[in-house]
Amino acid sequence: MSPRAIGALILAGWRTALSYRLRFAVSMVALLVMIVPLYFVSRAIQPIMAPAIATEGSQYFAFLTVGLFASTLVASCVGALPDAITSDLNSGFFEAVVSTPVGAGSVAVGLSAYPILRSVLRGATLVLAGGLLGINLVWGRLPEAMLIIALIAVAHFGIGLIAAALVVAFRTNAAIPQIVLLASGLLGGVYYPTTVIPSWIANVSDVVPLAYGLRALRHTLLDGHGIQMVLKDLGILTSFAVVLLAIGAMAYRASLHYARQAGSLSQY
Amino acid sequence: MNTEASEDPGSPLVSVRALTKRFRVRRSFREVARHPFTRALQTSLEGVSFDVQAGEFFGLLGPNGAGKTTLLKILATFILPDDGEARIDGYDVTREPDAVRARVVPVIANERSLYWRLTARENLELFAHLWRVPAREVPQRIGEVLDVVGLTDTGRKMVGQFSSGMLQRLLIARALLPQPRVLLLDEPTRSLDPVSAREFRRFLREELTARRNCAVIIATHNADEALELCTRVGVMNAGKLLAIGTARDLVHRVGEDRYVVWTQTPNHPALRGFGRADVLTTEESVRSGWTPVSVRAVGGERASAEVLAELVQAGVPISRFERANVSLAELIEAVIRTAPDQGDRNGAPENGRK
Repeated sequence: MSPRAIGALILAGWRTALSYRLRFAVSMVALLVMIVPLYFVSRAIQPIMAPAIATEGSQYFAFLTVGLFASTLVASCVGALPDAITSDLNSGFFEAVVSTPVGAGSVAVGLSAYPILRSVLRGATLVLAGGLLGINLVWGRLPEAMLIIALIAVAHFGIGLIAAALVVAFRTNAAIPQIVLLASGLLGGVYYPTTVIPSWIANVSDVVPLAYGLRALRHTLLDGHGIQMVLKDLGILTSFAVVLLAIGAMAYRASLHYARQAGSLSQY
Repeated sequence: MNTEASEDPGSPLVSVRALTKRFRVRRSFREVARHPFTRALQTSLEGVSFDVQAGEFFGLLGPNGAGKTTLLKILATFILPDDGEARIDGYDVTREPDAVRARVVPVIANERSLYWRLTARENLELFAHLWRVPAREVPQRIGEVLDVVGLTDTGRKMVGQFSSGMLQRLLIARALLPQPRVLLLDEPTRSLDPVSAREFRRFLREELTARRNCAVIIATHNADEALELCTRVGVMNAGKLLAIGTARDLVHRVGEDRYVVWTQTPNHPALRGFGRADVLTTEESVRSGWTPVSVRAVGGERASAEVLAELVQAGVPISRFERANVSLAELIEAVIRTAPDQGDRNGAPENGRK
């Protein structure tokens, strides 16, 4: 890994975003505006949701805000790299980057780091705005929460690497980001706890990494639980992160080799 | 980037030996169903060998699909060869790609490969970090390369506001950042106006090969680039390197038996005996009434003198008798025509098992 190369790519992404000043400002304002209707809708359905989320913060507005934060993070971790490679293959930028001595891992992290950091920033802004509207966050558990957020990001970045590998080799992401996002939204506990999922489909949610990450995140950030209380979810999430990252890294390297063999690495 | 030259001053900077690359040809579902274990392969490079020394400008000529770009992409580590070997400064492109990437820079001619919302300096700064230019040298190196390509004054301008010529120069500046040992150029002047192209060629000759002692390999269809710039050229067709030598030598070899006779009787029977062929009629010939006609005189200066004497003796009115100029297209055509085993395989797919 080359931190210098990754930093340079992040800086280029940041400078590009800043060059669209109006778009940047509007997106932040839109984010803050979005939280208001979310607050009122959450309050309206609080009585219905309260029993189901009693062990995950018990406040539906907080439950939903943390869920949306994680969902935004998952979307960028899974989609940022395949999107960047698709666009950079078309422009020739990918060819320019892989012609440098920077390793494949640094290129992958560098190309996706800015969108991921931006989504973290947007998510954090959302949560902070929620705080102003009454979410009770346990700030003392922030280190644990950050660890869980990092594990969620790593696990889904592994899936993003697999999708990116498909883009490099076959010019398609096989709808992997969309499928993961859909599964995470429906079965990962973004809008409702996984305990209310019907039993016939609950087994599927067992293989959704976000389900474990989100449960652990809510327990720490909203209920103030320590690491030892979320150890089971954390262990499973860590396993997902290790396995998915390893598979993703192998797939990505294999795809670069395949593209070099097939001569498609610099075709656009 | 490691810019140290190889230890042995006599060893070539680029060494290519029997390089071969075949690509799979996409087949229809019906064909795959009929012959599932057969692969259709198309040869893009076959047994290509050559060397390029430091400070040398080597041109690759040939029609589209000849294999020039594939060859450059193998040297840039974008494509893996099937057989043979290519070494840059002693490092194998297949086994030591990282070391090769630290020495060879392909000029990516695609203007979109830059960040259009960033300034020229910001783009160069990004690539300086990717190329591992020592951090404290980055501002100075950026200033140098911008100066070399004449973009110093526009360094703080957003790249999206650049003209095509400026973008091309910026792409060259980007390639110069790591002070490469070998530079690969694929038709670098195709989007430049003639004046900018001439200026660019001057820059390539003076800056890269003369001053920096780079080896430059350039694929081109441009006669000026091939004849004025290149120390040696290689003519390729259907994946094979058919001829190699200085451009002047090749032109001379191809055109040595061809002469142009300016006459008022272009259909004179005596001209037919020497392989008469029409030459493009010019404004000058129409105005003067003297028509240029091409004839062959095999056997050097003595033979040409004999031909001229015979034509005069036969009563052919002649105002001028001169050696024919050979165009790049004619040169390529002649090399391809005279090379053995070229008629039957111009990109035709082969069937084989792999």
